[in-house]
This record gives sequence, C-alpha cells and structure tokens, in this order.
Amino acid sequence: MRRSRLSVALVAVPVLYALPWLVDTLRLRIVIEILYFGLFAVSFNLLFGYAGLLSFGHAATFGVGGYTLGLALNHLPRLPFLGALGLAALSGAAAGLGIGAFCVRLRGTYFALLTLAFSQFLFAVAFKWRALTRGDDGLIVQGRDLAVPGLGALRLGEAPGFYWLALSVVLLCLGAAWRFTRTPLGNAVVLMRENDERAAFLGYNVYATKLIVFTVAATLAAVAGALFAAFQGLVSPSALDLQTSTVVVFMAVLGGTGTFLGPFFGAALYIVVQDWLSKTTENWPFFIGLAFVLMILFAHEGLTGLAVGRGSWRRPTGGAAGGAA
Amino acid sequence: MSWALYATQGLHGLVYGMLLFLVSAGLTLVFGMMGILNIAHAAFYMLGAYLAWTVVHLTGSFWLALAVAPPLVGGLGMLVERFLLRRIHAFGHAYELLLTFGLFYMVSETTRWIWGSYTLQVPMPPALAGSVPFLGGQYPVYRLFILGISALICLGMAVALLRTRVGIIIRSTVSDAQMVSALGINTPLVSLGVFGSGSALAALAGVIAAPFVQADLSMGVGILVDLFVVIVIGGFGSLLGALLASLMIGELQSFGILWFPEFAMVFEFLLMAAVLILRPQGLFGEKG
Repeated sequence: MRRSRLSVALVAVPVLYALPWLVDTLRLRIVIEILYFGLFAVSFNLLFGYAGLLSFGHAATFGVGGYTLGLALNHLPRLPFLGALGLAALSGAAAGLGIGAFCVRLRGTYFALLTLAFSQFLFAVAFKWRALTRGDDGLIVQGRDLAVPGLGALRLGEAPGFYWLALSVVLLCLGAAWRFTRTPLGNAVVLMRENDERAAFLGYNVYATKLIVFTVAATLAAVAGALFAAFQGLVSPSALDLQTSTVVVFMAVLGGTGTFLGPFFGAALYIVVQDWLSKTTENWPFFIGLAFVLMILFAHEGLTGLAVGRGSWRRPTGGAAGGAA
Repeated sequence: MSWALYATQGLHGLVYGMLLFLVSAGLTLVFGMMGILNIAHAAFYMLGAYLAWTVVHLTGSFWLALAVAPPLVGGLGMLVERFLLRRIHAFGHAYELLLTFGLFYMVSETTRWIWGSYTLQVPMPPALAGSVPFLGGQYPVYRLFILGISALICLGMAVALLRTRVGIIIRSTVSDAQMVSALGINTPLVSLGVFGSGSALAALAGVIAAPFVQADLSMGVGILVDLFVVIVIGGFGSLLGALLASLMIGELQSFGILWFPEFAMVFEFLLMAAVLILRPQGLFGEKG
C-alpha cells in the first residue's frame, strides 16, 4: 500500500509541476484557486474531522493571513515574498492561539457559536478600521516577485509563476499536516473526539492538545488566506465573513470529512462545479446548497466516504464526528 | 431635552428587543426540546417578510399576510422536522447543525431566486401609518404596534406554557423526553408541533418586521447573528433568558448606535464572547 502510494506521488508531482504547459491560463487560475481553498478545507477538517470541533468561523484566520500578507507587502518594501508569507503564517498561529484559548474549552454548538463570534468580531474590525484595512473597499495587495536562488525571479504576477509557488507551498503544508495527524498527538486528538473524559483519565491534557490542533489549523488557514490575497491582489472583509466560513464547511462536507484529503477534493469539486454552474445559471448557490443538504441526508461521509468505503485513506476510527453538546 | 432623546432611544431598543424575542422564542423552545440549534430559523423569519410582500402586493391587505404567512412557514418547518431532521438524528448533533445550516442557505437562495436581490418595500397598514405625540416629539405608531403585538404574543406564550395541558407536556418534554414518552405521550408529535409553531412564530415576526425593516436578503444573516448572541447570553433553552437577552441586545444596539456608532457591531460580540467565556451556560441556562 505504501509502495503504491509512493508511485502515485512519483507520477503525480511531476505532472502537477508540468501543468502550466498542459492547460491554458484560464484553467490554471482555477487550479490555483483549488490549491489554496483545498488547503483551507483540509485545515478546517483538522478541527472538524479529526478533533470533532465544528467551526463556523474558520474564515477568521484565513482573513488574518490575507490581511497580514497584504499589509506586510505594502508596508515593508524590502521584505521578500516568502518572508511576508511567513509573517502571515505567524500571525495566523498567534490569532489561532488567542482565539483557541477561549474556544477549545467548549464543545459542539457552543464551540461553533464562539468561533462564529470571534470571526464576526474580526470582520467588524476589518470593516470599520478603515485606516489600516481600507474597510469595504478592500486592501490592494502589491505584487512582488519571488527570488529563487540560482534560477532568478519567479514572476508571481503571472499565472504559471504563482502556480508553482502555490503548488509548492500547499504540498509542503499538506505534507506537514499529514505528518501531524500521524504523530501521537494527532492520534490523541481522535481519541478526544470520541471521548474527552476517557482521554483525560488516561492522562492526556485535553485542553492543551485541542489548543495545539486549533493553532495548527489556524496557521494553515492563514497560509491559504495569504495565497488567496496574493493571487487576487486584493483582500476585503469578505475574506473573513460568514460566507467564507460557510464555503469551507460545504467544501469539507462535500468531499468527505472522514479522510485527510477528502476536503481537498471537496474544494476542487466545489470550485469546478461553481465555475460551471455560474455560467449556466445565476442561481448556482441554490444548487450548491441543495447538493450540500442531499449530501448530509444521504451520504454524510462525503464523496470520498462513498468512493473509498473503509479503505486505508480513512482517518483512524471511523464514524460520525459526534460529540456535539 | 436630552432625557427625551434617551427615552425615545430606549423605546426603540425595547421595540427591537421584543421583535428579537419573537424570533428567538421559537428557536429557544426547539433547542430546549431537541438540542438542535435551528439555523434555518433565521431564514424562516426572512421568508415571513417576503411572503408578507407578496400577499400585500396581491391583495393589499397586511392583515391577511399576518394570517397566511405563519401557517405556511409553520408547515414548511414541520416538513423539515419530519422528513429531514428526524432522518439524520442518529448521526449526531454536529450533522443536525450542518443540515439546518445548509437549509438556511437553501431557503435564502430560494428567496433570492423567487423574489430577486432587490429590497422590497412592504407598505404599512394605513391604520398604523401615522405617529403619536411622545415627550414633545413624534413616535411612529407602527413601532408601538410591534411592541404591543410582541408583548401580547409573549404573554400568550407564557399562559400557554404555564397554564395549559399542552404547555405542561411541552415543558416536561424539554426536561425529560424519555419519561414523558414512557407516560404514553407521543413525544415525536410534540417535537413536530413545537418545531412547526417555532417556525410559524419566526414567520409572524418576519411579517411584523416587514414594513419596519423592508424585505431584504440581508435580513436572514442579520437576525441570525443577533439570535446567536441572544441564545448564548440568555442560556440555551431558557425562554426567560431569551427575553432578557433580547431586550439587552435591543437596548445595546439602540444606545450603541447613539453613543459609539462605529463600534455598535463590535459590542454585541464582545458581550457574547464574555458570556461564553465567563458563564458558558448563559445567564439562565443549565450547565450543558
């Protein structure tokens, strides 16, 4: 199994890097969107699928990452692009630690509402603090090229250049997140999803463990948000509003919260379908909502749950992410 | 004359607070009984306002809208409970929450599909269109009507819950559904009824709110956020808590806009976050 997964990776990664020569710019832009929204959805699922914590405010740190990158690029002219990206990740981690310190003590509906409250609070700040964020108009993010040692500058203003950057960053983040779920700490989180009390009796520090997971998820979401802001060249309060938090829930559930990569495929499907539907009908959000509701009713483990059944891609110990208050 | 301004502002807050309570009452009852935070509730409220527009547009009668919209939306609520929520009960609360979340989205998008994205003006009934003298100024009659009718419904609910047989059954089902069911009462039917009445109440509030705020697609998200704050502050499942919290939010918004127009939005969330952190069960809630 491991060997076959390795061979899949050996074929897939070069193909992914060669993609700019295989598809046109328009499609490549869609793939870039899939990359950062996929990372965003996977980070959401670290909380929901693994820890059983349903967040209705996951856009909060997505937005924090976006704004940090934008502000860093606009105000620190000598900072290299990767430095700004690192700053965005750091600010996401800090925001995650701060918000998580309050939220992870709660479970179920309470957790969902408190995360929502924090994201709405940040939304209000982004909306009202015009001097810093330009409010409703949005913050225009200045582009910057990426200096690659030995290769010269990677032009991030063009789709292929940005694609290579986004692909590398997202692959790196996904790899790190996957490793994280395989650590003893990552396993302990699953135990806590199934039974908090038992985990505590076994000597695990439930609060600290959940806080670490929350922070990791927030950091990844911030990286995704930073890529989003850099690619769009603009970040506005809508990056951290309820709609963005909703979209990531849809993506994760569509793809399947029972697997690590399910939410990534969910994001891909969401973006492709949205792209196609929005050309066909202006009422596309209705159909996306319908698909989501049908999915919950008839296949609540998502598409990967349907496709893979109980194969090796499942996260350890299956079943619904229950544990709501 | 600044005390007159404060009094007027206080009355504004009371009006919005009571309206908010009308919507949050149904949500609170359903949460107390079934443990489900029905996010679609906010969309039902919005649907009430849009149905009011249609009825007023077709027949010219606001009172007819008040009679027609609540049963329609109540019926829709019953269908949701019977055929959707009950189906996925076994998957756990997280999926019930996700389902109502999806339904909220769908009802909102259906509303956009049917009625379009523009704000629709719902005229006030002519009998209530004027204003009355109030502390040297004028106060719109319609706001007083909102206050009166909400107070009346609130009173009616209190009597129904505390003094009738059905009320006793509902209250006992909230506290121990299994025992009530063992006594030979059809608790799924009770849930269905409560869910339906809660949805109808939301639509009723929507109809009443329509001439006041106008039918608009932002109504749903707007009230949703306020509802969450009310439910959290009041305590999940506590009607008294919902009443107090609704009035608090009404006044907070009313005076917040007066004193700190820039930050009115932020206060609510700070209050909610503070309650969740210091007293997660809310003012009147039981430890969850």
